[in-house]
Amino acid sequence: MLRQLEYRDPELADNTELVTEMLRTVAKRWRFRVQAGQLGQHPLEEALRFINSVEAAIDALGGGAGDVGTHEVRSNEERFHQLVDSVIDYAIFMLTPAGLVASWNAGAERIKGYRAEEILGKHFSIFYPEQDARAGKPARELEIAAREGRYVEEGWRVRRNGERFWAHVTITALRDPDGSINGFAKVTRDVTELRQANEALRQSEERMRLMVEAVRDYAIFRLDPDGRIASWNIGAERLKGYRADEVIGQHFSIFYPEEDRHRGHPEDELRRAKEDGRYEEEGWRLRKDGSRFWANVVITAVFDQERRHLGFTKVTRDFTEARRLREAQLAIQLRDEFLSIAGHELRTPLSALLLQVQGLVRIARIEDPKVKQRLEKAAASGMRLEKMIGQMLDVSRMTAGRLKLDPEPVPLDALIREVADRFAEIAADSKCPVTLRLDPVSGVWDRMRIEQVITNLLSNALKYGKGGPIEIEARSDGSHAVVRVIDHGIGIAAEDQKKIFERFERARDTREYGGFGLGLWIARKIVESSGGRIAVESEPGKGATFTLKLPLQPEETDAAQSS
Amino acid sequence: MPRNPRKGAILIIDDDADVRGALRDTLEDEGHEVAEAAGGIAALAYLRSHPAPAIIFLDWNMAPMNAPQFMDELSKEPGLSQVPVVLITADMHANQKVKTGGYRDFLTKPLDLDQLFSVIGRLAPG
Repeated sequence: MLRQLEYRDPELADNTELVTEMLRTVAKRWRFRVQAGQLGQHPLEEALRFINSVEAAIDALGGGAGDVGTHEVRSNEERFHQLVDSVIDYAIFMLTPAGLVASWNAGAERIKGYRAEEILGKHFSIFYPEQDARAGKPARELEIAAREGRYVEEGWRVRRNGERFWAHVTITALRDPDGSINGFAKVTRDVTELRQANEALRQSEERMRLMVEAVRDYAIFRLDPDGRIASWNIGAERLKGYRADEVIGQHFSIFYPEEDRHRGHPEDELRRAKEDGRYEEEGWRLRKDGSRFWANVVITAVFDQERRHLGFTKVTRDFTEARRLREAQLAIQLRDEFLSIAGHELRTPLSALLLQVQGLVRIARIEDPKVKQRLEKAAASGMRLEKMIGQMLDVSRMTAGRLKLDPEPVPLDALIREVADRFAEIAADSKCPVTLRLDPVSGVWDRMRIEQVITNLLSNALKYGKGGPIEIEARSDGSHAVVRVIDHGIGIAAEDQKKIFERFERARDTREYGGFGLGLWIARKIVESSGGRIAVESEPGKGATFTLKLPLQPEETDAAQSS
Repeated sequence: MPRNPRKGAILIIDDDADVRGALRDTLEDEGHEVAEAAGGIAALAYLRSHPAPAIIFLDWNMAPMNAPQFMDELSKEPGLSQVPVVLITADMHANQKVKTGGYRDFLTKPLDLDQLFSVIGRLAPG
């Protein structure tokens, strides 16, 4: 009842063409699998299957040279049968006019999963997704093939295990010599992998395109080999002010200032990008409205696999702000360097001046008391100037992060006593009695810097103490030294209490109390660099208490020692 | 102020003429014999051709020969290695330099006269 291959399809009958195409498909498919690393868990078996496919094709072409003598009259038709039966990359089978499966080859078994004995005689709609089958799609395809001779499509089909695959399907109507339909030949290829690969590629390209289009902070666009604009993203529109429809096709030199265009700079950039693959620069560019911006530009030459030049991609960013920031940073750096150099240079002649004045004070002591007094005042002015230069240098060091501490064991109570002794004369002049309440406290700090802080606090207390008593306390709370400098002078308003530790801030106006207003900022920096804290409590009119908390041991060293 | 010619000679090495002059004036007022050099090379030339001074005051920051280089050269001079050298520097942490550099003591800028004379009294008594 089942006739096998009793047809002559004009297309399929040309063996060479078919086999060529099959070999090509086989090669393409296997290249794809090897490149994608999809050889499954049994790569050797997979490779054998590949070899079998190729051998079958060669046999079908009549290439079995050793057999020529014995089977010299092997007909084309026989070879064709053999080919069809053994081809595994194509499902090739026949249908009766009613659509029942009438033949089955190795490829059909592999692709669809049915063995010949379980599928022969079944209706071919079994290969379609249920929805398609119910909608009558299989029958419609046969109708079209009958009417037009051939039906070709790609669509989903179903394997025996229910799994779907994307099929390339050709249905050819087979006719008797009298013209009546005696069946159909169906050739099905599984192109799922190809479709997935194409789909992945398409999606990736689409994602890339959407991403580039959506980038807002970069102008990204393509140029053709001559420099005409070929694509435009939203970032380009934002940055340069042109819409895509008004800029595509124009030469990209419209973005360059006149003088750059004049010296052929745009063309030069393209030439260098093409030679070196890439060209990057920063420079001025023009917006549509004629305004300039400082641009960072990267031009990349684009070539295809055969090294044919396709054009350029250009990525432009607005670096105007970054440039301003760089310039501002440079200006700050120059200023700090200037302060540092100026400070050192001013200090040298001042040092000579002070030495002369102090020398004169020394010898004038015995002679004229009036001269001596005036010279002492001159020396005091010089010392103030020296102190201000010192502060200026400290600030430039600290803002540049170059404050160096040299910790050593320091008896804090003795240090405070020394500082107080130095101020004894000034304290007497300002009529502020200074009381010391010092427990013995020692810690590891930079002696000079801590002395600087104590000096600053005491000198402030004397300056703003309004003749009231001043107390300095020192004690240890076990882990920290706590120093309090208490005055009963003018005090500090609540809103000023935070500000006084900032740079160039003071609670009182400059004319009344001189200086840079840097002393407490420097004190805070020193204390914080030593791992401590400085704070103030005050009530205006009643005085101020500055509290200093310093760790007895430097924290890192402590950790290193205990581990 | 009467001079006391018996006090030891002092060599001042500093590249700033004002500073040298002020130091010279002050020290001469105290009765010291003072010699000046504007740099390490001139100082070495002076030392080779004169009797050894009682003290050398040496500025830290000089070109082309800075203080450590001068100390290196001085140590090679026979008969001069015992001359006490006092470093003059703006660095408040000069302790470290003094410990390793072969200096006998240091003074920080701006110079304090009491400290200056106390160093001289200690290193060159009489």
